[in-house]
Amino acid sequence: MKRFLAVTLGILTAIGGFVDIGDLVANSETGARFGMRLAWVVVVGVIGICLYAEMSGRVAAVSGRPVFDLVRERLGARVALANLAGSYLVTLLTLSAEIGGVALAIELATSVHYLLWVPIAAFVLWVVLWKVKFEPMERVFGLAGLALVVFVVALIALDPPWAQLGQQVTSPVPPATEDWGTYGFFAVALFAAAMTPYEVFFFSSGGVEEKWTSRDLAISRVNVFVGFPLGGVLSLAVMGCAAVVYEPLQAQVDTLGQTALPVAMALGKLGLVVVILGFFAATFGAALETGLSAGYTVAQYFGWQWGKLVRPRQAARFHTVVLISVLLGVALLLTTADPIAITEYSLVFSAVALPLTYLPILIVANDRDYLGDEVNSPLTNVLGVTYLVIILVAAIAAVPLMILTGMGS
Amino acid sequence: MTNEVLRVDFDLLDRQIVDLDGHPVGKVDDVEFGTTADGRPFVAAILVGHHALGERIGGRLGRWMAAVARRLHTTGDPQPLRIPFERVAEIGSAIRLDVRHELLNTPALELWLRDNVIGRIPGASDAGQ
Amino acid sequence: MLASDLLGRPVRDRDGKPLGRVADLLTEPDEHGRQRVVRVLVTPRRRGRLLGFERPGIQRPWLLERISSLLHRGTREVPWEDIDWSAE
Repeated sequence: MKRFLAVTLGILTAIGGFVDIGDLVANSETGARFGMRLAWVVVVGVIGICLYAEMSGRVAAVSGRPVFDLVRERLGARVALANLAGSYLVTLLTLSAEIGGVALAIELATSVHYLLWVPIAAFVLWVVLWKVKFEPMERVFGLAGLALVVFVVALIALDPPWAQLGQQVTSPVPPATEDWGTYGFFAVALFAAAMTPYEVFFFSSGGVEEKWTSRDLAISRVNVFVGFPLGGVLSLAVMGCAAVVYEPLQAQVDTLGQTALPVAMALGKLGLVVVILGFFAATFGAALETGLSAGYTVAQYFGWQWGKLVRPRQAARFHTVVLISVLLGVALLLTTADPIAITEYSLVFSAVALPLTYLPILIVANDRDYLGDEVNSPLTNVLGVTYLVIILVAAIAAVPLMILTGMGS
Repeated sequence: MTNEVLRVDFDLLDRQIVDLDGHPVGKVDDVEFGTTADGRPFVAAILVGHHALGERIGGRLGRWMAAVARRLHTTGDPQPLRIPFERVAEIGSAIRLDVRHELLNTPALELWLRDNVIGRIPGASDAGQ
Repeated sequence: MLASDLLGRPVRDRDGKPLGRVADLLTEPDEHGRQRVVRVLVTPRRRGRLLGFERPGIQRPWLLERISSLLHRGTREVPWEDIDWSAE
């Protein structure tokens, strides 16, 4: 029974934990502009993150090595240092965006300008990172993030023209109002929102900290293969709500309030309360994950003691990096940079940084010296190499598409 | 290890070093050779330290890293932590030593941050989670 | 002497023919248990990391192994005594 409960909780946590500010922004923007014509990208992204998280979870459980440790071990000190610089910057941008998301969610609830909430949110974030135990932290925010299921309820309550949405899903071409450039740009952004590297840094480091062994592989797999796809369903519901409400009006979504509005239209004030709670939990949970991941990448590159299992004074360098990262994230927001714009940039650069983080895991997941008989199956390898190609294409296309389309505008 | 052969670059360099209990000690930032009577190098010690890493990476970035490491070093001479190869108990996905990390010198940066930053925050000595 | 002094160096064989650059040093224990360098992995061109595919029996994923072995064609192990380190 206890085991069953652990699995259920893990799945629920994965669902709530999958959606963050990047998914909320990218999915509702694309829904408003492209209807459901880019829904397939979410599916491709969810399969990708399942594959990547399963491999890195398996490597962490069997060999005890988290992702960024292996990045340096396989790519060498120099290439890995370039990767560290890129991955750290992307994680920092994402952290900043999530803190902004928390503040925007509180603004929605209080009507007090978000910039006033940024320092408070960041301080509470840091206290939680400093004091609270790993598991309750993950559970509380993962479960509260499930409030975003309200988007599924709202979509059904809006009683959309299902046939028309279905037709958009099966016609993956830009609508008359858009061109292939913006279509490609938003495809890359959506893919990056689903396959964010920090999720995998966090997942594999958490596995090492919780001292997973080969026996925990089954639980890890169930969490990944059930939790992430259900999280993908939430993403699609966010997209669907925006598609139903905004696409016919040709309206653009560029605030978090607009993302929430379809729920309020369908379900009234109560729906709005639930959706704001969901925004808060999802962004706060993701801020915790990105804050820790910023520390993980640096500490694991240099081989420092890291993590929350030891007293903070025994991992002074790790905790210093986490603290500085939160401060830098706040500083970026206090320049009055728009959190939604920060989110968009973080998605583009996250697509660029992904290949060099994915490749070492794919290779080590095939290494018998590390994994013994738990190496990739032939099917996993076919998928793994296919995704390497997809990830490479997205990485190469990201910056040119960003420049050509002017961030998709 | 699947065979007797040890590959200095693949099996040693950039691999995680852990102590007897699995606590991270550092990465293998460089490897020091001794010379046998017939003039062949043999693995004498593994070196840990940002300064050593910077020197190995080389180029502008490496020099910069080495300079920062020197600057952050409060006690003057940034000697790397030198672990004699006899202390290596096992080479697998990590390099396991046969000593506890308390017996090795704590890196200067860690000590400085512990004493001046992290150690001053309330709760720094609370048990791990 | 440090590993970083040897790795990456261009070397020649005893007849003065260039062998390429040193990619790895392979050691075996001697009678005192010291890990002595017995062979040197040399690679003719500078084309990035070997990624671990240079080890015998490591062959998957197939496509990546093929690409790696194509990029690092000519990579081979040379006995220590056949290497002339003085070459520039």
